[in-house]
Amino acid sequence: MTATSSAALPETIEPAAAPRRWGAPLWVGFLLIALTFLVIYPLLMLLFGALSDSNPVVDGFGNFNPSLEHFTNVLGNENVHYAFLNALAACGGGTVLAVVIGLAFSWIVVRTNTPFKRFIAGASMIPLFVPPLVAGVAWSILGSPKTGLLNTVFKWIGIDFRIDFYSLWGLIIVFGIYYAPYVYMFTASALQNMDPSLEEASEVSGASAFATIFTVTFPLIAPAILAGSLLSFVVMLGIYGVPAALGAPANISVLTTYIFKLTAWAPPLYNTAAAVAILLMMVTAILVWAQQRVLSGKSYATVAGKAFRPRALNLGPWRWFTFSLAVVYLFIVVVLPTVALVIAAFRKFLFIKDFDALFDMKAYGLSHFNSVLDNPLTMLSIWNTLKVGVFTALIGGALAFAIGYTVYRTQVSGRRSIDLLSTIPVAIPGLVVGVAYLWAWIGLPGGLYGTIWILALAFVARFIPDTVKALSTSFMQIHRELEEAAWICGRGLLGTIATIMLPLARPGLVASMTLLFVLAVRELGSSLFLYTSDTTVMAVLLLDYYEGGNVGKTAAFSLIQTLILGVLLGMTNWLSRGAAQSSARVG
Amino acid sequence: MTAALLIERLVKKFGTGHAAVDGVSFDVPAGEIVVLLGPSGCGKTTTLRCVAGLEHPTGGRISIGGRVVSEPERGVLVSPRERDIGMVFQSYAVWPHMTVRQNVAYPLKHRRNTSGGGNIKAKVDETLQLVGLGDYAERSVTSLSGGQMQRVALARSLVYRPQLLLLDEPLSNLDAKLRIRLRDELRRILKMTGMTGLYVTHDQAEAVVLGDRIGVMRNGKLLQMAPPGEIYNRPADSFVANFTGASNALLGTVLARSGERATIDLGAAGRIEAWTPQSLGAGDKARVALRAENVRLGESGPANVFSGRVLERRYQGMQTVYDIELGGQRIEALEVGTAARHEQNGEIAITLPPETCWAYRDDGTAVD
Repeated sequence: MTATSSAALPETIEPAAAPRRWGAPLWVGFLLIALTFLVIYPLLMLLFGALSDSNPVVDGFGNFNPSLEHFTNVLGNENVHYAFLNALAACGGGTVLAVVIGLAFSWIVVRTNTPFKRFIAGASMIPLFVPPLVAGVAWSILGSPKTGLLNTVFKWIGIDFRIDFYSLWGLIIVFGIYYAPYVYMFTASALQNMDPSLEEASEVSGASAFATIFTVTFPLIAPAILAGSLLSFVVMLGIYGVPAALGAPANISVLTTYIFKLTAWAPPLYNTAAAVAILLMMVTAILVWAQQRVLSGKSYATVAGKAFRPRALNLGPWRWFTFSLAVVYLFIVVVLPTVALVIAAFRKFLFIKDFDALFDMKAYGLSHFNSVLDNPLTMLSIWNTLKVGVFTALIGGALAFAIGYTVYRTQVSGRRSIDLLSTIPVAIPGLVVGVAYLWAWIGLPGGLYGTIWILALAFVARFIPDTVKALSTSFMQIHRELEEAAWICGRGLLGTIATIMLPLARPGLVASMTLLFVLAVRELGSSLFLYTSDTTVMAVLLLDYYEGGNVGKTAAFSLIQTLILGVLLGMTNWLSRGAAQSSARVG
Repeated sequence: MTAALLIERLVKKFGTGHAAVDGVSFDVPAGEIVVLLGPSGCGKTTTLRCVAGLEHPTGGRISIGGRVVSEPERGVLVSPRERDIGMVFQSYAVWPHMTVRQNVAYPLKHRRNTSGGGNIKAKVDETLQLVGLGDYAERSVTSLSGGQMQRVALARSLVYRPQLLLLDEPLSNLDAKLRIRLRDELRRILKMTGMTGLYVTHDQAEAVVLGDRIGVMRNGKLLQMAPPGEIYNRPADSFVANFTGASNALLGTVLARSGERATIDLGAAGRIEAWTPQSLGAGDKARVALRAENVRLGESGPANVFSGRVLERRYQGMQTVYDIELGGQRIEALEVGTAARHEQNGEIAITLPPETCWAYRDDGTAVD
C-alpha cells in the first residue's frame, strides 16, 4: 500500500462566492437606528442638559452653550451632597437588612425541614409585586409618628414606645423588608446548586452545624450574596415611591426625590435635574458593572458531575421557630400593610382616638371610593395605563424578539453593537430615563411630548434589557438543529422564523410581553416627568392623591390599583399559560 | 486509634418504602479494608452513608470500636462529628475557598477533642507529605488537578487519625491512568497508617487491589463477603460470578452431585464437571458460569474436554477474543498474547477446567 488515504478523497472544490446580500446590513442598520433613537439620543440630550444652562422649552435647540462649570456647580451643591448621602445611608442600610432576611430565608427554604417550605418560598416573593409607592403609603399609614396605626396599638396596650417611619430608619426598614427577595433569589439558587458533600465533609470533620454554616456554606455562596446585595442596592437607589411617601414628610431627600423636586419647582430646574440624574446614573452604572463582574467572575465550581439529593437539615423542634420567623416576616410584609390600606380606605376619617374606635362600624363607609371614582381623572388614568401597557408590550415584545434573534441566532456583523446598545438601559434608573426623555422631546414642537407614546417608548427603552434576556433564554432552549433542519428542507430565513422559531418561542415571547405589560402598568419613576394632564397614568395619579394629603383617597386608590394589577396579572398569566399549553401540544 | 466496625442487620428505607439497604450484616476488624462492590443502586453507598451518620438507618445496629453509634430500635443516633470517622467523597468535596493547608487543617481546628492540638502545622505537613502533596500546602485548591484534589481530601480525612476511614467511590471521577496509579498508592497509604477502611466502588479491579475482603451487594442485600481470591474463584451465586466477570453461561440439567462437585448434562455438547456452592439435585436446571480467561483453547486436559467451532475471531492487539460454538451453545474465550493462533471456522479442542466451572440453579431469569 503506497497510496495515502487522502489521495483517495476527491479534490476539495472551492465554494462559489455567495452573491452579496444587502438584507443583513440593512436589517442591522435598522435595529441600530431604532436603538439609537430609543436609548442613545435621549442619553445624549440628558448629557447636553447637564452640561449647559439653556432651557429647552424657552430657548429651543439652537442655543447650546456647553460648559462643565454647570455640572461641577451641581456636584458642589450642599443639597445634592445631602440627598446623595441620604440615598447611600437608606440603600446601604436597606441592603444590609435585605441580606440578613434574604439569606436567612434561602437557608430556611433550601436547607432545612421547616414545615410548609414551598408556601414560604412562594409567599416571600409577594413583596416583588407590590408597587413601591403602595408600600410606602401603607407604611406611612402604619408608622406615621402621631396617627400611625401601630402607635395607636402601642398606646392601647400601654407600651410607652412610639415608632416613626418618617425617618431614615423607616426608609431602611421598608427598603430592607421589600427588597429581600432580590437577595433571596440569588442565594437560594446558589444553595440549591451547591454540592452537599462539601457540607457533609465539614460535618464528618467534626465541625458543628453552626461552624459549618459560617466556615463552609456562606463563604461558598459569597459571590451570590454579593451579586444579590449589589442588585438590591441598585434597585433601591432608583426607587421613587418609598422615599416620596416616607421621606418627604420629614424633609429627607434622596437622589430620586431630589431630582423630581427640581423639576417641580417654578421655574423648573431642568438642567440641574439632568446633572443630578447623570450622577445617579453613574453610581448605578458602576454598581451594575461590579455586579456583572461578580456574576461572570470565576465562581467556585461547586457542581460535581453527579446528581445529588437536596439535603435538608433536620432542625427538630427548632423547625417551628424557623417557621414562625417566616410567618412573622409575611405578617409584616403582607398582612399589616394590607390591613392598614383597608382600614384607611374604608374609614371616613383616619383619626382614631383609641383602639376601641377602630371597631366602630359607623366610622366606616365607601365615601373615599365614591370620591375617587367620581373623579374623571381616575377613569382616564386607568384607560391611559392600559393603553400604555399594551403599546409597551407590543412594541417591546417585537423589538426584543428582533434583537434577541439577531444577537443570539445569527452571525451577522454588528450584532455585538446591537447587544451592547440594548444592554445599556440596565444601568439607567427609571427616573433617569424619564428625565432623559423629557430632555429629548420637550423642546421639539409637534413631537412625542404630551402623547402617551412617549411613555410607551420610554418604558420600552427602560425594560428592553430584561425583555431581551428573558427571551434569549427561551431561544437558547431551541436547538439550532431544529432551525437548520428547516433550512435543509428549503425554507428561507423568514419562513424558518415564522414556522419554527415563532411557534417554539411563543411561550417565552408571551411571558416576556406579559412581564413588559406588568412592569409598564406599575412604573412610576419615568412616568413622573413625561405625563401631562391628558396622559396621566395610575401610578402618577396615586402620587397626586398622596401629596394632596388625603390618606383615605390614597388608600382607596391604592386598593383599586392593586386590584386592577392583580386582575391583569391573573389574566395575562392565564393567557400565557394557554399559549404554553397549546405549544406543548404542538411539540 | 483505629478500631473495628460492626454492622448488624442494617436496614434503610426511604420515604417511598423502598428498602435501599435490606438487612446487611458484616464486620471490619481493626486495620482491615473492606470493599463494598456492586452496580449503581445496590445500596453500597447508602450503607456507607449510614456508617458515616449522614443517612439515618431505619433498623439494625452499627458499632464503631465497640461503641453503638446507631440503633434506631433503641433511639441511639450519634451525629457524624461525634463518630470519629474520616470520609473521602466521590466529588472530592474540597472547599474551593480555602488553600490546601486550610482544607487539611480544618478538622484539627473544629474537632472538639483534638489530641495534642498545639502542633497543627506539623500534623498537616506530615499528612501532606504522606499523600505526596508536601510542596502544595499554600496552593489554592482550585488550581489543583482532580487527582491532587482527591489527595487533599484524603489528607483531610487522615490528618486527625480517625478510628475508621470511609471512602465513597473516591477514584471514579479520575481518568483511567490516574485511577490506577492512585489506587495502588491509596492501598499503600492506608496500610502504612494501619487504618480501618470501608470502601465503596463499582469497579471490580479497584475492589481486588484495595480490599482485604470484598462484599458484593445487589438490591440492598449483601450476597457474598470474602477475600478477593475467593470472590474470583468461588463466587457464591450467579450474580457475583457474572458481576466479577464470568460472563459465559452454559445451560443444562444436573445429572448427579457429590459434595461440591456436580455433573451436568449440556445436551449436544456433552457432560461437564463443575463446582457448586448450592445444593443442586439431579434433574435441576443449572447454569454453568465461567470466565472467558479460563477457557483453554486447543488443549485436551484430563476432564471437561469438548470439541467446538470458532464462529468469530476478534483481534484486540494484546489479546484475542473468540466466539465459540459448543454443541449449540455459545461461549467467549480469551487468548492472551499478540499472536492469534486459531482460525475462524476451524474445529478446535477445548478444555474447561472443572474448578473454574461454577454451577448455579437456573431460575430462568437472565443475569446481567
